[in-house]
Amino acid sequence: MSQGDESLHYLLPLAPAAFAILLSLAGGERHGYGIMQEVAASTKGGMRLGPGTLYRTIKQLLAAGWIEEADERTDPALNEERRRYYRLTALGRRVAQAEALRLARLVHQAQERKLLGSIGEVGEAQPGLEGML
Amino acid sequence: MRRANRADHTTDFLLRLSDSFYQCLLVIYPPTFRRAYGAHMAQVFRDCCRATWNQRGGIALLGLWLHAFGDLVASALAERWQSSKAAYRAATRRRGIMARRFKFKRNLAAGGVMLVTLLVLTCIASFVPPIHLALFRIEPQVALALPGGQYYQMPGPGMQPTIGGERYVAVDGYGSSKPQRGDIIAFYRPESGNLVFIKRVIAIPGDTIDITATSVILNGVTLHEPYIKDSHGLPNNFAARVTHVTLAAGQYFVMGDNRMDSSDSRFYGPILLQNIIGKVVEISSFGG
Repeated sequence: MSQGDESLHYLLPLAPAAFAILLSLAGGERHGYGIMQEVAASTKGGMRLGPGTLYRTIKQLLAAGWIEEADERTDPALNEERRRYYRLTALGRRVAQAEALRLARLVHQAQERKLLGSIGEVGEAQPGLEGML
Repeated sequence: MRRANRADHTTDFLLRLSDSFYQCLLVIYPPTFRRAYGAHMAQVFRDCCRATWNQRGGIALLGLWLHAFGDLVASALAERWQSSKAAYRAATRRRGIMARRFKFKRNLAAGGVMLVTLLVLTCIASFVPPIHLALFRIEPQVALALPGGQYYQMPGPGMQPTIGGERYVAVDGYGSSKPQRGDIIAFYRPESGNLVFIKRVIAIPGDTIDITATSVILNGVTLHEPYIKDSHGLPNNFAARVTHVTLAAGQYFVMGDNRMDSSDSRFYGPILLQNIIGKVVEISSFGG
């Protein structure tokens, strides 16, 4: 936890879709469909972003300066169509870290109050919560 | 083989149909959003459709469509609401700035015009005392000393037709000389406070005066008075009688030219030299 994270607390909590997109981009540049797949995969289908919600959120994140447009290129795994790629900015990464920290604190509190087992057991005990972390 | 080709054609057709329909539906988004992201959204939806069809078949495509349609309507409404809010804010801000600028300019112009008008009026007033009086004085009969003389407003009808109502008169002090018969003078009456009266001198110290209903007899001679107001054949002095009054030193008998409507020496007797301010030397053309 750094002082910089504390200064971003006024931006929190993030909308679930925004945090999911930031999380998916934390692993590297992705295009829209790639973000959608990553979100669905990481939440085991718990969060399904429609194209409307996806691009509305992307628009907001671009405006906030948390993500930026990379180049437009084809994705060899799909087809020959060119796709717009997005990546996290430094600010976006800090905001995502701050939100993750906030959620981790909540989870820690839940553990202290015996609502959860250890973090390692979460996936087994409460599959629905996994997407939040 | 032919059946497989037909299935591929059907798939392509359905996917293209789905794609076209989705692109048509994008019209419900605000134009700016549609221009920026419409093509990307359609592309993503196409990818989703293809993946769903390949993995789970045509029935799953219906499920995808239901989800996509709900997502499309909800996000389009949210986007429209947000963009109209932003447009409203921008318009209000623009109007506000313009209104403030306009108001500032208008106030500046109005202030400038008022300032110039005030300057011009002050200049005029300093050269034209009646206007000076009209601008700066409320009680017209209180004397105001100005360089070169004193000015009074004639408020009543007592001196008509010689001095019309509301006209201003310039008064010069007599100095070492004395009021003469026929002079129009300004004077105080101590019993009337500070009020200044303007009347015509009819008799001076030493004169004997008689006033009948129709004429004024001064030292035994009936006065010819072309200056009095025509009273349409009525007796001029119907309300007052003065019988053989001889004026002592310093006493002056004054009357208004409008004999039917003047309060003067006929009623309050002669006035004293010490209360005479001066002679009317000019009757202003300003005023009524």
